[in-house]
Amino acid sequence: MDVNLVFSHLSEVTQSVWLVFRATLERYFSTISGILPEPFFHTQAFLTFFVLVFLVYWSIPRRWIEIRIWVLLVASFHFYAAWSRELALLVTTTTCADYAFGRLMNLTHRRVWRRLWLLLSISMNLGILCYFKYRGFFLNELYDILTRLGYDPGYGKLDVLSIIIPFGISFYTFEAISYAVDVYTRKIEAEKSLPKFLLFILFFPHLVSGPIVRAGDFLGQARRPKRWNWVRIQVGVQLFLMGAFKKLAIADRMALFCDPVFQNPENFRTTACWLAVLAYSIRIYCDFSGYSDMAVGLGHLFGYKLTMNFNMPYLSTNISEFWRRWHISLSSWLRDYLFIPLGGSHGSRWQTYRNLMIVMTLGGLWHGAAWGYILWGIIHGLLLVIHRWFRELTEGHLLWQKLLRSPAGTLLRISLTFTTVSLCWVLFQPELSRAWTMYQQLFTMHTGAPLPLHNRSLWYTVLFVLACHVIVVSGIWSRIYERLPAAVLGGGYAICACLAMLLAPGQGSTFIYFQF
Amino acid sequence: MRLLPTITRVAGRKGERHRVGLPTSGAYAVRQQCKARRTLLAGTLVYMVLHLGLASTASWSRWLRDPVYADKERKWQKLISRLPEARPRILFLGTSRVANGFAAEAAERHLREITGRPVTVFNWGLPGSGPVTQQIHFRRLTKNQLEVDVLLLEIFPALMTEVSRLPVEACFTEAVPWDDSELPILERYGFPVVSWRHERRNFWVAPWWTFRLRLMGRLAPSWLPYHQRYDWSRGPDPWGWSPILDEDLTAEQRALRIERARHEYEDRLRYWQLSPHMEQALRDLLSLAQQLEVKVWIIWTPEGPSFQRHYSAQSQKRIERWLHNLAKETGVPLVDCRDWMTEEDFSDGHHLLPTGAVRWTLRLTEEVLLRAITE
Repeated sequence: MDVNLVFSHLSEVTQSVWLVFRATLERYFSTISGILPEPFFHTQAFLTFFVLVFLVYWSIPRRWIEIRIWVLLVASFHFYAAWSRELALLVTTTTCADYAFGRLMNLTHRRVWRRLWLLLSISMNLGILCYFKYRGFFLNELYDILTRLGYDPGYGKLDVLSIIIPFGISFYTFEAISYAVDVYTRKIEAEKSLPKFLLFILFFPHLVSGPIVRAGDFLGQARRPKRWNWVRIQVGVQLFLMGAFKKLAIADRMALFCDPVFQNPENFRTTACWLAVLAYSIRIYCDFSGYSDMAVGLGHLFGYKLTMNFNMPYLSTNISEFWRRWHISLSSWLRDYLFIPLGGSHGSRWQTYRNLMIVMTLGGLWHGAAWGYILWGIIHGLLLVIHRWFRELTEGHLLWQKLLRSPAGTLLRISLTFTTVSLCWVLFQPELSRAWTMYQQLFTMHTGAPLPLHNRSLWYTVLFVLACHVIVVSGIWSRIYERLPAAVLGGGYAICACLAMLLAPGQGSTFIYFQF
Repeated sequence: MRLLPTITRVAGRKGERHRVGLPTSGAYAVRQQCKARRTLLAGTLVYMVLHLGLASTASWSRWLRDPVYADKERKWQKLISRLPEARPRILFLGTSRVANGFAAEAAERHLREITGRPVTVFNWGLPGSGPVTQQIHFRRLTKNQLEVDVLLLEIFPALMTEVSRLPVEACFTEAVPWDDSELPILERYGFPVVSWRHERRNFWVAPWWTFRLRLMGRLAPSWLPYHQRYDWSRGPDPWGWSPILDEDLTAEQRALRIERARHEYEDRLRYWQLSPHMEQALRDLLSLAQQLEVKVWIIWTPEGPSFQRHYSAQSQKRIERWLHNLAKETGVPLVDCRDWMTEEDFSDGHHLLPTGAVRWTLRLTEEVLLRAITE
């Protein structure tokens, strides 16, 4: 028999098999995409997907840890691949590479090699992040500068909106970097099991919008067999419902007030702009903390405890406290992996200020590749510097301390912090010119249209959010919670679920932090 | 974080609880487990009750599924019950142009003055309602014993067309308001009933989500944007008229509205093509009314010069020819009121302002309604 003929047949067969495989794969993923088009938690499609995964997961015997890990892994991959299978493959591949770098770091004791693997891991993660998220911004800025200077950039301006940024890239990049650094500093051992490591990055509750999980917290949990625990399930359900309520009934409602004003501030009167700023503050808080609550709740439902991301940040008495209560997983990441390595607050006063400015500017840039976010970060940095300076100034003065800590002083500090943070949110958007117009509308009297919707529901929502904060802070809630009969608590969950749906306005919006 | 006191009391393994400094007593953990189980069970039960309660209510209550229709029907019923002997009963079925433009009370009063006997006139104008919606509403009224003697039927040519092989009217309607028995009728006229059936499953899957806007439109309408309230038909007067509230429009406001109307209708009117489905629906409605011995008049409602400009000469000719043929074939009189009013009478070239509405109504009463009830 002619060998060439055999090879030619073989090649044809292989090609056909490959084509069939590709076609099947494509059809498979397009079907998945049809069922679960976007990786969001507050959709019916997601709930169906979740229930399915939940049932399969808990029907597997407790001792089969690996199988359970694989179930979660496959589900997480599908959760992401339903939106984009190419990007799901990218995330999986880079995670495998991070795993390999971690293992290589563990294999050697020589510092040079360990540092090399660390640098490779960080460069790969930051390189991918920059390619997807910052390429358009920086190339366009360079283009503008060169054109202004009279040089031919040699390339056209990029359409930033056409660049698809993988969902959650900023979140999992930071998770991967923290893992590499922790392995390098021997804070943790490199994970030996690839599926567990993959799950650490790909676990669908935290994949697209955090919380930014630390390997040390997560991998230990992944190694332990999970036992069905009613209390944990209850906590998960409660957190998920609370998050859904925050997102649907509060954040999306507030979007009705603030979105039209933030898009065209010049059309609205000054009072409407102030109310829109208030609405946006509540919206962004309930949107992101709602998402985080749902993510943490989902984690609990699979027996994993993820970091809580918020702790009533709008009750902070100063900006420094605000950052300890807002997006805790990010601020603690920035503290541990940027601020402290830069020297933290151990150097001179000016070095501390410099470190704060660097950290907050990069924190701003982390949110988005636009001047608005960078400026937002810079202003927060400045506010932290001012606060630190003020604290040093008043530290030895008893009268000042007394005044600031009195009930009126505390209330004043909370109001001041809230107002400052709220005004900074105006910058938290890609269009700097719009933010500028908004500030003009806010600080000079303008006539124009009122809020697009009767502001009764805005005030009710504000009062509701405020009341919730007061009830929790005063300790009333924890006292009641422990004593509530099961039937009342359960009924409360059911009513909360129905109310979340009932109060959701017509067009739901995606989570703000998904774009980061 | 503090919203969840139990989060720190996750009763996991004994060691785990010990690690976080929590009571490790077995009895406590068991108690917590029992309470959590009971809580979740109670929650599921209450949710099921609420869920099924709303879903089953929605399956029989038109107030939930089609509040816009239900409001109109209630008003019409009230009007009839006020003076049951007031005959003939005149009903004007139409779109928002009729809703804004026909002051039924003025017509009723004028007719009473002229004829010296009580009559009932009602405005059944609903935004986006074409011949299919009109037919179904007419069928429902007949089924509910709400007899009509004279039926005025608005013809709005833009609603007699198709968009991507779908009747334009279908774009203004949803899957929810219809009864199961009405779906075959909608299917006959090319409505996307197959995909709607899937949507209608949400009745049972997530009723609180499906009916949220309708419920909120009743409970707290100001919490929703105007176009999502489903309370459009709650505002009109007892005769069904919804006058446009901002009578004193500035030139700028008027120009903006005219531009919006142009954007919405220009293409459909310039390249007007009659949808066979819509024509069939209209013919079926006419024959149904005739079978029930209801006198029918087709009314081409007024349009200002700014709106009439959207018709190309060709489409204008085509529409006129079609309408004349229809009138001839069915024996239904056609009244062309397009040129009855001036541009200033409209807010956007085709929706009449209150003053214009009253003037048009009175003229229509004298020239059409009077004839309709005396002939």
